[in-house]
Amino acid sequence: MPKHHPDEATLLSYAAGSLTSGARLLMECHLARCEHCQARVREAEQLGGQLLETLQISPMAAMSEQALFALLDEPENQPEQSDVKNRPVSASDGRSYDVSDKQEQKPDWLPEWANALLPWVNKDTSWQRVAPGISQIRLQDDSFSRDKAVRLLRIAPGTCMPGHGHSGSELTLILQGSYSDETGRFCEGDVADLDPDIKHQPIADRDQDCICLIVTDAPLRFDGWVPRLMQPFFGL
Amino acid sequence: MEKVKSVSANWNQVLTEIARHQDRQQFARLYEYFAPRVKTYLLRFTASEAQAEELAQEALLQVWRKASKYHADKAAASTWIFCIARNLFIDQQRSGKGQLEQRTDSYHEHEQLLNDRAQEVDYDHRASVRTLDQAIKELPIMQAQLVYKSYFEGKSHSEIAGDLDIPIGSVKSGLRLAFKKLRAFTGVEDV
Ligand SMILES: [Zn+2]
Repeated sequence: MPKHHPDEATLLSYAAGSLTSGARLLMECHLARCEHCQARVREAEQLGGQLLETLQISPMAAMSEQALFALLDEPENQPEQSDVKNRPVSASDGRSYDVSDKQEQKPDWLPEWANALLPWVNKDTSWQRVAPGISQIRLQDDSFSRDKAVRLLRIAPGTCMPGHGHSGSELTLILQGSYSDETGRFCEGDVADLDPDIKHQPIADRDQDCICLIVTDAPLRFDGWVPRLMQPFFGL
Repeated sequence: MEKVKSVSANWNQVLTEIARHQDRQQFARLYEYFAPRVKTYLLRFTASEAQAEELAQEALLQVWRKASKYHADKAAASTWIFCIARNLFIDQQRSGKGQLEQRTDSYHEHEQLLNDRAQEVDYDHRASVRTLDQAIKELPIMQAQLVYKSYFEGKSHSEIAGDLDIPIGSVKSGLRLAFKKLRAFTGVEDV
């Protein structure tokens, strides 16, 4: 069970359906292994249900009971196949992509509970070097248009990340290894959900590569001129 | 459709009947109560009333098809229906079908809606709903607005911060506080 959880405000927004797609993807991975957050999300969904009941009604077009019952007998509209094939679809929308044939292609660093990432990575996906000891994979999807960046970061043991603050939200989920910063030590499954005014300087722990999923919706702000030079490399 | 007067309906029970016996009459009652509310919910995210109506119908048809998976001891019917409607909206947004327009009218309008609804009779059965109404009204206006924008405008923390011209940290802390207060009224323990 993870020790660091997303902010309750983030869990509420997940339940409300208002997170960006990248943030939702990250939350799905964390929720897959965090009962604590699952329970919070259920509470926020229950709040959603009750809010739904407080809504004013918008009358539906008049329909006879026979017409309604006829609808119940109609076969379900299947989503167009092409639609599903052309684009990675994660689990939240209830349409499952075929994981079985992806399973063999699973990178060894990807934990089972983060299978929602399989549409974007396989064992041949190459890491792009961005700085000494740091490489990344950018995840691309049309639905990430509301996210600034959705990427995987691989940090070599003992590497010190440049200190930075944020002008927007930054969610970090640890997939493998661990890192420490001013706010604590983050291990597999943990989420760092930092307020923008918090500056931090993560250092990867020494035993193995630290791999995390990072979703940002505004550029990172690096301190000093050297890290600023790195900014373009992060593609932000 | 024939006007069904719903007196003290327990929607969890109704949905359970639908789940167990594919009870069409019960579904008609559920449809009549929830479809117009789901439509209002979806109106916030859709470009036209026709689209909201179509999606609301689709949401309720999904309720019918998936009913066998419903368990009253795990979730209230309203929670379950909310999740189906929300997933439809997410799905729609993701596929980019029918360019969704996000409305940004104010919470005040919603508050007006809440007041108007006080005359309606058919929701008296859910005392908890009225209590939630009350709890929302007792929230500081800013917190109520944050909740409204999250659930009914589908906006992320950054987007809300931009709309209201406040720091993201304030959006998060406001939502946290509101969640804490409202959670006490959702009666989670009972479900
Ligand atoms: Zn958690």
